[in-house]
Amino acid sequence: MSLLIVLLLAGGLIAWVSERFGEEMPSRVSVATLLLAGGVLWQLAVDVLGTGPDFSGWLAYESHTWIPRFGIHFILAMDGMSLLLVGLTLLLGIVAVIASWTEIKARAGFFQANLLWTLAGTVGVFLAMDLFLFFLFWEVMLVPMYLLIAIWGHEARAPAATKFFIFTQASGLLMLLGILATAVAYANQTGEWSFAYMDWLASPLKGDLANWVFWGFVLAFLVKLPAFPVHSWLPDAHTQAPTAGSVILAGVLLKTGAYGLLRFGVALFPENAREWSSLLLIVGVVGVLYGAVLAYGQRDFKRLVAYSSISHMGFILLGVFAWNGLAWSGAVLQMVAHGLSTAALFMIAGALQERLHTRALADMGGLWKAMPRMGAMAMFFVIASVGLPGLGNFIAEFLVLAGLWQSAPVVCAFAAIGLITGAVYALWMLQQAFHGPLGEQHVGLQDFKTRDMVALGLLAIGLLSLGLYPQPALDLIAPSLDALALKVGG
Amino acid sequence: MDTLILQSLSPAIAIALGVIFVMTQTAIRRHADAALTISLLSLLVALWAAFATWPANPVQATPLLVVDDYARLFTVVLTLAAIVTVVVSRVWMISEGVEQHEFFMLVLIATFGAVVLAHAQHFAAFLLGLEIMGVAVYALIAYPDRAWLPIEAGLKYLVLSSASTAILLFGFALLYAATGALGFSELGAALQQTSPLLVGTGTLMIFVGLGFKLSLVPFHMWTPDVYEGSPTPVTGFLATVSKVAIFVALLRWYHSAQLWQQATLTEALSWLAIASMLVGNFLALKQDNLKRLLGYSSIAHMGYLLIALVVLGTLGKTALAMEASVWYLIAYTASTLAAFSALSAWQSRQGPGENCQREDLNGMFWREPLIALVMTVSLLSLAGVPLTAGFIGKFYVVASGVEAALWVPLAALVLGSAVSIFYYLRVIYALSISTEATPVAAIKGQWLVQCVFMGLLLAVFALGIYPEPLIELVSGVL
Repeated sequence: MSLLIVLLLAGGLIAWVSERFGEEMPSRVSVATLLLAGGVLWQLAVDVLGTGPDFSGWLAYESHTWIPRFGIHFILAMDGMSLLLVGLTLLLGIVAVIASWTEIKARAGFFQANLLWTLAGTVGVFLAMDLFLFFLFWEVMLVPMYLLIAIWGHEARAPAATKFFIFTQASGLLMLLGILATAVAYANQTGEWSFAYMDWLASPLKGDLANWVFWGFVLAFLVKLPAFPVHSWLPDAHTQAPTAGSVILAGVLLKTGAYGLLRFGVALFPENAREWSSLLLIVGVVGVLYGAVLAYGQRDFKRLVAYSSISHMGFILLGVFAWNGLAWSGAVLQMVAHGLSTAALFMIAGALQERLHTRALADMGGLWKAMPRMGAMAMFFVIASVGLPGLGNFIAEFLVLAGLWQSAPVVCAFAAIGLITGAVYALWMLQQAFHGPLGEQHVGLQDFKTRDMVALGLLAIGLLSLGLYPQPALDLIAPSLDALALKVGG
Repeated sequence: MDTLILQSLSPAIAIALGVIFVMTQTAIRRHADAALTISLLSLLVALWAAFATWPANPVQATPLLVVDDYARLFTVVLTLAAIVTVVVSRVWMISEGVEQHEFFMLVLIATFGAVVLAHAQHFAAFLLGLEIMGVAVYALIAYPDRAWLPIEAGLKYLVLSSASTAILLFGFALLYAATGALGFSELGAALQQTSPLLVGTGTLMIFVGLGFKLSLVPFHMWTPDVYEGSPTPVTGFLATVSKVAIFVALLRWYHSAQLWQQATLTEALSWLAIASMLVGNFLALKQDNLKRLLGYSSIAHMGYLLIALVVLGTLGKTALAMEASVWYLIAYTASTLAAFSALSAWQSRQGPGENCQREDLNGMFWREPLIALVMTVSLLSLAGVPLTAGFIGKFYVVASGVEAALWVPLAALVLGSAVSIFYYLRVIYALSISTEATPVAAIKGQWLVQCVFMGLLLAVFALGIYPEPLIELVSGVL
């Protein structure tokens, strides 16, 4: 597994250097690196999954001593949930590279390097099972992402990038404080330092301190998710980021928050999580509705998709704190489905901006006639994100709502409204951009090339298979969630 | 004196000899590169001597000085910092058209004072080191003799620093009056049986004096002006060598005199720490001049560092807090020095003039990638981003703070760090803006600077990625 991360880091360096061998070289190196990493992951998955249907526990595990003074180990471990999310990360990585193939002309090498390093950090977050290492990766994915927005972003990139960094970093410091408080408590209890996830699971933190630490963790994850009161960095960052940045940001970076909630927030502090679950459910449902309302108010294609993300990520928060296996599996599926559909929408938004030099919906209209391929793709993914049955998002949101109904019917009723409002803004957006009369200035626009269609096609296949036959994915994540339920009594 | 003492003091002696050689050489024939070579050689010999006698049992070299591994470790750190300063300042002086010879001598004298401070176990040695270093630094600050800003800065530093030394001396005198002892450990023994009033006042006055030199809030007023006015390599020297040496001596005094038993002092220190973290970081937000910005940020960093002292005061002597302060000092030295060296190298690439407003840095990423890389990494390290030395330092400080349950200072630390990211990022962003290039003729001998940059980068990354060797070293030293 460390090979995966090393591969991405090294690929970034090679891409940077390869700049001097031609304009398209860095992108090619990136795709090659990601395919190679995908191959490594595939090999890993086949090795362990091939052995039989029973794959409880870790699929893969490795541990090296790192800083013995604090009992810190370099522990990477993978279960079904991490496997799925790492796979998503690599897939969206390829999509992001393709999306930026023609967009990024200046300093393409450094761009691809930053892209790959962000992905390396994200993969690390999904695999790290030592909280020190986890925090390290959590921060490491920030810096290259910041550079992506700050250097290659759009007109108001500086404040957007800074806001993104400060929000995440400040909340990350609270998490660091929480991590250290837990570690010190563990050291006082057992006489030994340890940051290992498994050790902490075995002797959970108790009392008043646990409550504070829980909030330290949860705040960091809520900011990343982002949940309602701490979401304001997201629309700016998404809108200003270059296309590849938005794809990665929406597709995988947000998911690290959801993943963290499930893996660390709930598992390490089950009592506190249960105690606060009603508050967090309300936060989630407010996010769903508030995000939807704001999305409808947007006149900017990318901003609209960004706000819709807040709404959809609210479902994940609901799923996590609905506190049963059904909703949890819905939340995990939602991470994947939302990753796929939003990445596609951002790719389309980026393509529009590249061609029209605007993101304002008012300047669009009738684009279907000029670019039928893009129009069809946009329709597919808009419908997917609305939650049409047969596509991944529907299954995910349905599972969340079904699980939620068992534990909090009132919240569930409100959350269901989100499905309707979602349809309103998404269809409105589609109509504004692609239907109606075609403006004269837009005649003769370049449609999607095969390369773009392949990328979007991959995402579409992913969504379709999740929607029509979700069982394999559910089987994959079931052991992780069962173990969680066993641990916290879901 | 027997040979053992001479041998153990050999690093300091090597630097002192270097001073004499440079002086003689300059008197015979002025030749800048010869002065540079002699200075570098003497520092390298000092470095080698410190390593050659390490590890060893503590040697009482006269009642004033003690040579233990702690002193050796910081001799190495301070000497390395001096080497960086010497190399970087050469290029800077050539581009500014300043006479070079005496500069190197002054750096050596100041380093000698700093090394004495690292060995001090007696107030007399403390004062000697402080003054040897201080006098040389006054001259270094005002070194470019045709510019106004450095002279103003030098004067400001001279007046305020002398005043603070006077307060410090008064504190020494009060402690002496109360206990009759000036050695650190005798003082600690005597403190147990004496009247708290004299001792309390004396200790507090010493901390006020040192607070000036370390620029803790509310004694920080001089910092931004002096930082701005000094030649950039000197600012780097002032921010690292002079502060670190003083803190090293302070730390030795603090734990050999067992000052942690004074609850009032601990309380006072914790407020100083909180004030420094908040004021330093918030005022840094308003700065457009990078040197002023780093000045305010160094105030904040001294605040972070004080947390470790407060932990010592709260829990008594704990290994974690001692390690934390030593680690933080080293990480701070590496990152701050890297930032100032990069700034200085950039300035010399821009031709004469100050050029350290934020917009002067535009385009550095694309024109001078190595300098920009050093700058970015050092700022990230100062901000405490993982994989850099600064992160491990902050990790240590926070860990020790959590151990002592100092929630209020820790909250100030989190708030301060969050704020600090904003101004560090603003600088990093400025580096990435592209501009029209105005090429300046390169200065000969850049390879030395590049070596130093590589070394600094390596230090910041190696300490951040694989800190264990230094952790072991530090815990062995204490």
